Amino acid sequence: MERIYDDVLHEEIYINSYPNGLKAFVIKKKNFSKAFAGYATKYGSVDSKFIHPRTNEVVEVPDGIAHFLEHKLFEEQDGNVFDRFAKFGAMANAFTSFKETVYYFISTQNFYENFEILLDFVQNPFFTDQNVEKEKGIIAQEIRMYQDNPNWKVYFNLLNALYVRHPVKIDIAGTLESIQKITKDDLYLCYNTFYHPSNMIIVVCGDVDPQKVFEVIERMTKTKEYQRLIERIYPEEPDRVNQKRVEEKLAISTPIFYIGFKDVVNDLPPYDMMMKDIHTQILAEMLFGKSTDFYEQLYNEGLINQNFGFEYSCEPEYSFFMIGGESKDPDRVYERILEHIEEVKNRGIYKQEFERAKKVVLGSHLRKFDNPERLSVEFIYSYFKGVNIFEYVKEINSASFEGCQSRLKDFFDKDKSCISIVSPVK
Amino acid sequence: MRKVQRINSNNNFYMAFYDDRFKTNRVAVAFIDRLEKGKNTLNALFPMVLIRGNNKYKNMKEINRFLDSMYGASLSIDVDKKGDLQIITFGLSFLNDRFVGEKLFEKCLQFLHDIIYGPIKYGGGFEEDEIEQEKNNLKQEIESRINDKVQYAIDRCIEIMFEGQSYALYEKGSVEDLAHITKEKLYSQYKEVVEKKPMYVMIYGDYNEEYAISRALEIFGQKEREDIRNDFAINIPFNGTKYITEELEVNQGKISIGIRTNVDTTTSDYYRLLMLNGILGASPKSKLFENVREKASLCYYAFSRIDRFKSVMVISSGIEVENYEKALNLILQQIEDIKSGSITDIEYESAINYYKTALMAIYDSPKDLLGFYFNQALVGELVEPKDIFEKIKSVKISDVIEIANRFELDTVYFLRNRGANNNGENI
Repeated sequence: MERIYDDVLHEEIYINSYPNGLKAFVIKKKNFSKAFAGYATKYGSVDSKFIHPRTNEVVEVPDGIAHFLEHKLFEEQDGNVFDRFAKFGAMANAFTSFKETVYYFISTQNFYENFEILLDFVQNPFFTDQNVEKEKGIIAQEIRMYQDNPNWKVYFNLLNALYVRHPVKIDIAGTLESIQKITKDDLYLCYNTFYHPSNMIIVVCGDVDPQKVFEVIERMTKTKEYQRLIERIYPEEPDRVNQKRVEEKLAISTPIFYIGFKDVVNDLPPYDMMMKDIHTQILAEMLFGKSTDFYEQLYNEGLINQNFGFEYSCEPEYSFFMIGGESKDPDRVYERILEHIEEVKNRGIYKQEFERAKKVVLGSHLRKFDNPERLSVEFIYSYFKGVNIFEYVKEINSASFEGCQSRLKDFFDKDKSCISIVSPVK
Repeated sequence: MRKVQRINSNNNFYMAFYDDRFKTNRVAVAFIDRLEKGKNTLNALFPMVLIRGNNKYKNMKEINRFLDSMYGASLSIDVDKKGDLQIITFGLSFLNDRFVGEKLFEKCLQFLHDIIYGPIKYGGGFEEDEIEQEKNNLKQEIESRINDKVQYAIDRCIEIMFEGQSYALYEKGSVEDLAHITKEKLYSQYKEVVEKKPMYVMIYGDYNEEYAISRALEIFGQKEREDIRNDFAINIPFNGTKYITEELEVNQGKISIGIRTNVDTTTSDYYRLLMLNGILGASPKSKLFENVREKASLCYYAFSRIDRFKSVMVISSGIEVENYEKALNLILQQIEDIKSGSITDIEYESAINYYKTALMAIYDSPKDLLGFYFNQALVGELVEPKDIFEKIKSVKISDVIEIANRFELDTVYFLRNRGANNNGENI
């Protein structure tokens, strides 16, 4: 067991590694009433094609399978695992994103009992033809619900416009058609591949005893043998965007939009990727933050409102920046953003702005530490990227003006941008 | 550990909580007004104009510059409804001095005061063109209620159920009202609220609570304010169940069911109602989740929710349009089952445990805790989350059955896709 105390953040973290490749982390939160425990696998919606680590064969499965698996793991021989959690009072749930699936619970009592249930159900799949069929009805309703959600639509339409081939463009839950193809055997195959300890981590955050947590894991982990790394196959993604503009109509009032910028993907070591991420975030704050002249102008012209915002996603195989909100004229906002970027590229950025933006970015990351759930999820995201979130916060201070300048030079290329709009049905 | 200080006089409420567990501190100032047609729109609009600037912070950019310099402090404005009340809250979260080596508290408290009282203090009214812009923004916001179909279907159900009553009003007002708002009307309503309506100043964080209150008192003062109370009762006659269907361009149908609980939520009956809610549709093993989703596979979500401030329960679910009858019957069957006492141990236990976790988790979020105490104050109780749990724990199955038998099914609202004739779909 390793202990790290961060005297800048006043945070304490305990780490333990197991021979089968599993890693576990306990982020100690003294005097918190709730504790979070997450069991995460590095397996998300983009992992539908891979080389099987034992047979060496290339496998391709239907879209939406990681999410389907997430639903199905809650099922047990006699009912579902909520029965067991209910006894010990935990709120259990799970989510699937592009690159990970996380099972978790939050409890304010009986932590270790609940923790054992979590470890147990994630390691014990129970799929039958019948229960797989039943789940299709529930997931179909989930997909239908998202089809009526304009924010979800505008987001996935943007990804579909940005990416030509990469599966990040496909809805995490798959489609009404793709989920119909999923069988019990597909689920077992993916389960046995991706739910191996060497592809998983456990994160606990709360006022718990790390030693005891690690002992429970040791005792409960079933698989003891090592599995080699899973090779994931992603299609070759061209540099260009798929579509410049995509528009869809839904029952909404004001158009909502996202403008995306596709970033070059370069195989950087984790530390360099983290710095690229940080510099891009600071730069974006300098370009589009709420206290910039640019924001003020767009707001005063009535082109944007308080919902305007932006986000940068930085992953090894795909990385993009998106900015958007609500506007009566999204195309005009798009033009203005491109003009603004051009102008800043010509005149350069200011040191004073850099200091301001850095404070904002630092503050927003520090805040994550106040919410055990959010902190743990961020921890998992960063960990699978090879970065420790504690380091991340510290490195914001070492971000340089030059780093931002060089990102400005390399990124925000208008030829690699596009716009997605969801507009009202008339 | 946590220490609390409270001061309450002439409807000025000051609460300060000491807690050193967090990286962020929070200050919130809330005003209470009656929820009334016309006024509700003014009350939703003036905070939006306040954050456009005053003579101290000349424009939005200067306000945002200040927030940035406080390490991205976040200023939020919330306009809510609680029963027949409209609540206008200005909240500010900012980093703990410890992590930045600067004293942010005093500056932030003063800043919040400048935002709220700036136009009065620094002698500026509201700018005409800023009012117009914010009217447009508010119009967009009101109209975009339709974007969230789950909430929209719930709101429509409540509007139909309480037609003509103030509880039917939307907390952010109406588009029709916006047209009649003048600079003068807005300014006078604003002054009325911030000077005369009940005010709650709430502070949470890592500073001595007596000191915090004394600084807040110095800055926000203590003048006589009106006394405004909520009416928790429903107060309209029940004339049988209304069945309403509306059409919209949607993929999924939404059922919302409005129920009169006939419970006085200011009494201990409220905790019995909470237990019922847990068993019916709030806990992970609730009847709705288990029977409508897991067993019948009819939906992805089905839940129930209570508004303590109006003694109402709403049930909500998203389904295939053609399954309307089937889903509605199955949902109503769950209530009938409770009435007849068919409640399993696991349903009961799960509801108790659900509340335990939910209530104890409040202690870990400054925002939730302040919201909790604020609600308590409005109900006229001063209990802690853990006290509420104690009360819930003592609720018996017989109490739950008794409460369920008081229920009256008021409104069944169904939001469905446009008719078969329009798009040729076979329903």
